[in-house]
Amino acid sequence: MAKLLSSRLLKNNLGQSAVEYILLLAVLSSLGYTFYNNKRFKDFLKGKDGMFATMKKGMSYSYRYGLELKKDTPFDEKLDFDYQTNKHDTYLNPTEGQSRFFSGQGPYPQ
Amino acid sequence: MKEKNNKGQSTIEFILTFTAAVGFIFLFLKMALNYTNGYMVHHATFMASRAYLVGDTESQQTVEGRDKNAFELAKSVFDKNLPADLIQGFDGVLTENNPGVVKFSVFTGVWTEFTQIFSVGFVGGKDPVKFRSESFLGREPTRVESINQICTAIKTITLGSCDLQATLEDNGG
Repeated sequence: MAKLLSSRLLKNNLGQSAVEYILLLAVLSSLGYTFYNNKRFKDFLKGKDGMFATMKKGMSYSYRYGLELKKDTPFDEKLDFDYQTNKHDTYLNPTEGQSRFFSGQGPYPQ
Repeated sequence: MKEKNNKGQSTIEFILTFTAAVGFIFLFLKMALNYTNGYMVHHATFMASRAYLVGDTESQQTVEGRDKNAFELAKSVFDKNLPADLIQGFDGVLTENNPGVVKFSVFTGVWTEFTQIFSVGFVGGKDPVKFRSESFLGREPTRVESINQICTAIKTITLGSCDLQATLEDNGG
């Protein structure tokens, strides 16, 4: 009787999808865990120069100055600019060393 | 006893994928809202700067008093354009760059600095994003300053006081 019951339970496909789900979940979890613990992946996402930090810096800088943040721009210095010099990136063009604003060079003709 | 079947599988799969998709949308929606909030703050700062540019009142008799009054006016314009609950958790404070204090006159005007959460949940870390909105339209001289300048000019010419009215020029026209 017990033998009959056992073979009846084993010889069907009930629970197959559940087992497949569990196996797939285990594979995906281990894959995700491996990715998440990978140093290069962590550095890419987090950290001072990670993707999100760069996005944040870009947002702050472009919001204030209306310009794209370039790699060689000293971000912290620019963000803490407190109007003691004229080196405001919207006002002063650092590559040309002069104001971005302009006016006529000579007087209007009479 | 209820028979075991695969009814509801698609519902569960739909819920799982729907949650992931909605989460993904909200992730970028929050980032985009930072820009939307930023535009509103920029507008409020610009309007406040306009008020600061021309603000003048007869109730104050000193330049400092009139500047202070102009900044109060600018703050009220800023609050009017950016009501308290418009941006959740807004922590910006309007600050003035007074023409008598600021080192470079091109930076005369008002500005505000505020912080926003970068995105939903843990994405992007806990540190908020710092935004600074600036509007430097300058500041017109107050009537007190104009009176003082005219008085100085009259004193220079008449070598006396400017308590009495003096005719500086009359071409007979």
